[in-house]
Amino acid sequence: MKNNPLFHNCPSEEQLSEYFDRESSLQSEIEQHVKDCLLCRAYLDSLEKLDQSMKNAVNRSCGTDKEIAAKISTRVKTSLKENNIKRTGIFFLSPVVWRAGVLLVIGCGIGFLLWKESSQTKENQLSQNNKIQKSAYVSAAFVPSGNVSKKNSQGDDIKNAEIKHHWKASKNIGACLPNILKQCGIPEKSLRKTNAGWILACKLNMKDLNRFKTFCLDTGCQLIYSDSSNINDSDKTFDYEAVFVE
Amino acid sequence: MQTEEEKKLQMQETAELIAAFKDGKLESFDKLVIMYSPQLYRTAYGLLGSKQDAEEVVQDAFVRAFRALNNFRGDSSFETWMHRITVNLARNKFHWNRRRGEGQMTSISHVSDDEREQRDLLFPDDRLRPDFSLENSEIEHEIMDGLSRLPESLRETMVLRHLSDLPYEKIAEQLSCKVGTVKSRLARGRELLREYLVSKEIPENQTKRSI
Ligand SMILES: [Zn+2]
Repeated sequence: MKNNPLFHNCPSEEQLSEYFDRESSLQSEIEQHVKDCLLCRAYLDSLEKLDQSMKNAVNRSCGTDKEIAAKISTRVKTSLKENNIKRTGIFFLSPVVWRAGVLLVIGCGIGFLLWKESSQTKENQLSQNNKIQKSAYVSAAFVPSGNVSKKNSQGDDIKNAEIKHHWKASKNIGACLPNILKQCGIPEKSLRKTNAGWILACKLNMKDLNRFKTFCLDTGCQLIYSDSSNINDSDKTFDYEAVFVE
Repeated sequence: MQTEEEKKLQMQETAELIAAFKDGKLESFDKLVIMYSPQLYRTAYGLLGSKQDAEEVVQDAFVRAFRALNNFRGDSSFETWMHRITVNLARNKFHWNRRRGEGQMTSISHVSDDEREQRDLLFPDDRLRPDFSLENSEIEHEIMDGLSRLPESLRETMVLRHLSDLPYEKIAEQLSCKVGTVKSRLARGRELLREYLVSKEIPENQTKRSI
């Protein structure tokens, strides 16, 4: 206890405040002092008055426990209900369910992206094929893809073939072509296999071309496009290009 | 004020209700609201001095608790946890009101050094100062006004002690301070409130300090 010369060993205000709250480590000693000290008792009385006044002021405004509980309970229920509707309940699921839901959504998102990516690749491939086929059908200036030789059997460049044929390949054309080429005197290396089908680029005269054409038709191929420039001389060799689309 | 036995029973019941809630019995939350809302409401009212604001704050505190209760690990008691949420929300509300110009008032803590010196010469000990002798109804009216004029840290400490009936240790936990700080804040807060009530009895021109 603080030795206060004015009040003969009176506890400090802070010590009395602690004593009032029953939190003082000197509880019994202060109690002994307070019994005999009018001044300290008056101080404690004013603290009691302060405490009671505060409690009374709040109780008067706030009502009874029952009234408060009923009011807050209604408000909380209404608020949760409104939130529940607004948020369609998702935030009110247990965290485990909630997290699992989030993971599922993310998983589906990734899955969808991967699927889209692969279908895009497939689509690209298909559209690439379609493009090749389409151009094979419509383009007079069809140029085979890069891995196709642009040189004929003699090693000459085939820039713009003078005769172009686009065939719808028969099922067995792959097996028949080497033999057909042989029959028509066309070197085998003039033939290349691509994704789009078979491509032949060589030098031919009109007589051999006609033979070649007949053999192809015999195996079941259909000539779907033909571009023969103004070639009148049947003996003259010309650049020939044939595309067999499967 | 609850006895030790009552507190023990309440804590046990609270633990059972939380466990039931975590098991999916959401209706047990309403029992927690009924059990704790009076105390929390009084705390909020003491901090804000407005029924409307106190209702909003306590409602919001319970809605937050509802969302977070599944993650509540019980490191502190439910009571302490709820008080912390309520005090934080009330603090935000108080600052918000201040910014909007509501509840703007002079603090009772800002006594000039001259005034303090003069007062200390007149009354070397608080116990010698005149006590407030207002009528009870007047005190009840003035005390809430005085409370709202206290600095935030003193007001919160006073409310948690007088209106929430929390022990020092819990108050220190709530306000993230030391128990010693709680003690000194309470002594200071009480003294300032006493002074404020005394000043209300003396005509304005005779008071030694501005309010
Ligand atoms: Zn004394």
